[in-house]
Amino acid sequence: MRKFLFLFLISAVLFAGDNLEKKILKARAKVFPALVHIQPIKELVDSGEPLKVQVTGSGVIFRSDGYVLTNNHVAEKAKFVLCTLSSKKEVEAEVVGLDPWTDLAILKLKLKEAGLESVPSAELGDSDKLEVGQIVLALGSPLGLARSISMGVVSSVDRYFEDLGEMTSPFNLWIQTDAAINPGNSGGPLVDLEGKVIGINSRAITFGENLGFAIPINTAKYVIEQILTKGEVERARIGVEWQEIKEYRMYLNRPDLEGVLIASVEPNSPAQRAGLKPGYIVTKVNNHPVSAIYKEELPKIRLLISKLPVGKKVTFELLDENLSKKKKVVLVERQGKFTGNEYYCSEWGISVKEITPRIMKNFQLSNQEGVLISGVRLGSAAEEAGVFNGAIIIKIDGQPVKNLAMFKKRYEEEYRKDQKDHLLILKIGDINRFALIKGKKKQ
Amino acid sequence: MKKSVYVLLLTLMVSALWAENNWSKFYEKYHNKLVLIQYYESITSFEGIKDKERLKRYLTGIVVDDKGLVMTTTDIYRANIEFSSTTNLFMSGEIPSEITVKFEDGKEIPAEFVGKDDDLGIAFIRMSGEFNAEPVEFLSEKDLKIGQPVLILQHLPSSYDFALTMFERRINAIVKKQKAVYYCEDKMPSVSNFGLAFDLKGNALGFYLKKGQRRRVGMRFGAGGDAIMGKIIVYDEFKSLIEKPPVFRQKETNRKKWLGVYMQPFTRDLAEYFGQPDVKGILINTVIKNSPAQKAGLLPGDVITKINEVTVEAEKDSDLDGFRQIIRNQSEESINMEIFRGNHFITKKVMLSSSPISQYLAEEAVNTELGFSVKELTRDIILAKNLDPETQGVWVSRVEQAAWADVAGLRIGDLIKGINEQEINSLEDVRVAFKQIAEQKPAFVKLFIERQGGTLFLFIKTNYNDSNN
Repeated sequence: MRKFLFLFLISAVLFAGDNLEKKILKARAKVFPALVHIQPIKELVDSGEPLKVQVTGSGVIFRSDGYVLTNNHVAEKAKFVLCTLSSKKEVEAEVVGLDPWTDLAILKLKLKEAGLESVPSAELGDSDKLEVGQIVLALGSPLGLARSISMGVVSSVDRYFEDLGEMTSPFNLWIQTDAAINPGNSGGPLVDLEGKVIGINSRAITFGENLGFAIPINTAKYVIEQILTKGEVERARIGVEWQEIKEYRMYLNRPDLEGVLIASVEPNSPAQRAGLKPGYIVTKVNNHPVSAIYKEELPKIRLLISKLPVGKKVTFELLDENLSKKKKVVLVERQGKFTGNEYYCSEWGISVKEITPRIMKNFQLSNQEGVLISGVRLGSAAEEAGVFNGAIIIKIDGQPVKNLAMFKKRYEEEYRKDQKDHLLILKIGDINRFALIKGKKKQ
Repeated sequence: MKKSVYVLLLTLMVSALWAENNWSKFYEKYHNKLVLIQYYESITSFEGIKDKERLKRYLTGIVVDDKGLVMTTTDIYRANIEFSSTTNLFMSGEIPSEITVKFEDGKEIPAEFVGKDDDLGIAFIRMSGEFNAEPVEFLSEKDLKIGQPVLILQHLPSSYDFALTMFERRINAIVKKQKAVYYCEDKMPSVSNFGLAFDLKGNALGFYLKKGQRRRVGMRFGAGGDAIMGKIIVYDEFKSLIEKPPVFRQKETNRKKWLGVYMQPFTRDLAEYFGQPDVKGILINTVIKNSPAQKAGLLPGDVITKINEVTVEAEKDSDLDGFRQIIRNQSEESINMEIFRGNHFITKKVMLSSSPISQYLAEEAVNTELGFSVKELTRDIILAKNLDPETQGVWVSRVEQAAWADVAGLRIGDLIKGINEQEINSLEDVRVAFKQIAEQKPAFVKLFIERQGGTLFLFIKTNYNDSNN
């Protein structure tokens, strides 16, 4: 009897293994031809000096006419993008659209120039149907090792990261997997055993082992649709940071309470103008009930807000500090840029950046005026004058600097040519500093 | 010709012997006026709401009056008591404890911390028991000459059993700032880089101090080497402090005068840019809100040319120190300033105030059950956190590891804007809220805090019933 059982178990394991391998091979066969090894050449500015670097990433072709999905952090600032298909054929690509908020980007392969009609593409799956424990494959170029596949399971489908700025999409939860993901895997597909793309591999925790994170493909589908129809993803903003109400329920001893807590209201934001305050609980947005008991429910709230109609009035139903019902009407704004443009002033030896709402928040600025100094070249006229990184130029020769466009215009038309001395008023925090950039005339 | 050589040799030998004799005479004269100070310094703990660990430390001290006043370095209490220094944001604010003074004959006498002067780098303690030592009498010698020999007496480190060490140095460099600074080459080990300096006749000239930041050689920011020179501070500079030592009494502590501006040198290049090549002075770039400068109507862009009829000027950043010292050490509150504004000179009367306090002099409220403490906001914290200068309120100064507040996610540096349903604007508000919590023992405490420019709510789960406190 025991022998039989033993034999039965052995064969079960053997068959299962065989079965699994077949499934993996089948899945690979479906996705592998659509895998792209991406080597963009990026133009960056470092210490006030332009610099070119080549990086490595991965991507997946999702349309046979050559559209490739990858990470924003792979494609951003790229001047030239070289892609290598799984057939080892090299094809140049152009950047169609970037979405830094979700860290996604779309490229288009220049098929005609490479003498190609079409390319094999992968099928996009449904990440909402993913289950923890399900077997997945990660494809890409870990550490530049092109056309690699690794296997693992879905470790979690609702991993939440605090919105820390770079590379953390506030609008979705993340798929966690133990399939090995390394730098270079970025932008590559995470696929299920049916060979459907269910995520885009984006981050790994380098000091941990087998902790990889992928953006759910359903988030990517929205971004693709937006970029392909509008060229970018338009998002709405009201200027509120949200908080879950799990503990607030306990504090109030109201376990039945539904809604989402306003943690923070940005100054000069639509929410502030409408009278929304930290401590209010939002229960409905345009009659649509909203609630976040746990923090894992916050991304969907942020997503809902981001999809509100820009320039339109939206009704928020809320409970104030005393839990009395209130209604507020918010005039929804367009979300500002994630990363601002950068401009390099070679004669002065500095690079300057546009002040985006994000920079405004990080530097705790009260307005968007001026330009941020993002780099100072050692030994340059600007360094000599005491110009420093992180300061904001608010005035030049007594004239206010409103924004980057204005600065650029004046720099190109006057400052770089006139060889005169120019007096900058710099601001860092609440402290000003005069800096005199010497012209070349007298030397 | 030969004779003169013999005479020379003889004089050299005699002078060498004489010098040797004198060294022991000087030792006799001063060995009982130099004391070894022992004390405990609290170690700032980030895991607790109270400092629990402490370190025994040693310093050289000089007996300077007949009432038991002993002068030493500010190492005895390093926390900066004024707002302007953000370099030592994390120090223990507690004053040194269990200070004893040990004489060369082995006698130990307890002492108490009196106060300090950060500009000069000296602090004072006072012996509280019976002692038998005459103070050092200093000679008022204002100008030391380059190459002039000086003798220095200080204690060696513990590995040499704190023996007194005497060595000869010369004034190797004189840096002229507002006042001359006298530097000597020094590679001697010592317990506190502090000692007594006297001339070859045995006249005490002042104190000897070796302090400085080590800078990395060859690095991007590097300039200068590893070696640090010692400097001699002459009696005239600290005479008044011995007569009237600085007092440390929390908020009542004597503080230096304050104008409330940020400034930079009005360089020749700037003067030319403004078409005023002959104007020299100090350029105000920022006027701090509610400061004496703002009240007097000073503006960014003003160039200060005179203080009380005395010309002031700066061509480079280091020249600003002199101006700073003039302001800080004003004895009168009211000063007259001549200012160049636009294209003419104007005069402004400015009422100086005391320099704002740092967090070390700020009051603290501790809640041992919730496991955190808060302090009122001081200007050093406002600057460090880049807050609006007008911000009022309290900030979390400590969080006890794994206590209720820590578990709820409270962090050092958070500003507390509200506790439960009460708005918090001052330490008094916090005390009221803490009292209520202690009475009501709620299951949850709601905190409304500000962190990195945004706000959020924290809910502290308490456990009063099951608490060991």
